[in-house]
Amino acid sequence: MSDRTVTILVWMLIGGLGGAVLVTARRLRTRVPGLGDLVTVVAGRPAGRAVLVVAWMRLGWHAFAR
Amino acid sequence: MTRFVTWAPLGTAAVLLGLAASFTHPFTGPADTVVAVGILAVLSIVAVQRWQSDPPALLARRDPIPLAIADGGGPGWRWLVPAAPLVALLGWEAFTYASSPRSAHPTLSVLMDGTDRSPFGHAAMVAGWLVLGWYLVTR
Repeated sequence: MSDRTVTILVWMLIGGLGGAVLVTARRLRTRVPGLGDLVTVVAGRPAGRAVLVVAWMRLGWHAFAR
Repeated sequence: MTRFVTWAPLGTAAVLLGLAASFTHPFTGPADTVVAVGILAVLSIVAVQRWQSDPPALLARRDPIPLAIADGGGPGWRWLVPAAPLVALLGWEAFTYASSPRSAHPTLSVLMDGTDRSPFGHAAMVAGWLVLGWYLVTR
């Protein structure tokens, strides 16, 4: 198996893990926090909110402009 | 129907900006402009939240998370569940970025270049980026 195949398989695994977390958190709503809950907790603090917004701006700049 | 009407402005704005972006190429003035418009649109949502006591539902921050989750309703390790895929993503991105050659260790952005090359894919990705920005500032 080539390095490229392994790398892509790990990317798919991470995607699957994210999907599993979304489904699990939705099913066990009051017991397991989901990705949205984590974002809400981080965004609840001004510094955390600023970091999220700056990271989002950087993502757009990197992907579409530079 | 009401839900559709509420979402219509966001969807329209995302599609329009995505379409505008599909005519641009990175490292050009128009591409810079499209990204700057997206950033200004999202920052203006933050401004509306800050200076309006009762912002429109689409722009308002959403209800806090359930108390059972937020207030120690269970062990702290539960937060590892949502953190795990994010840590894995950042860690693997860092590993692939530091590895070479790039073709054997593609980063996430290299994998997305394929989608980004077609005008439709580029428009969809810009629209998704805009919706992500809205999601982050309304949490």
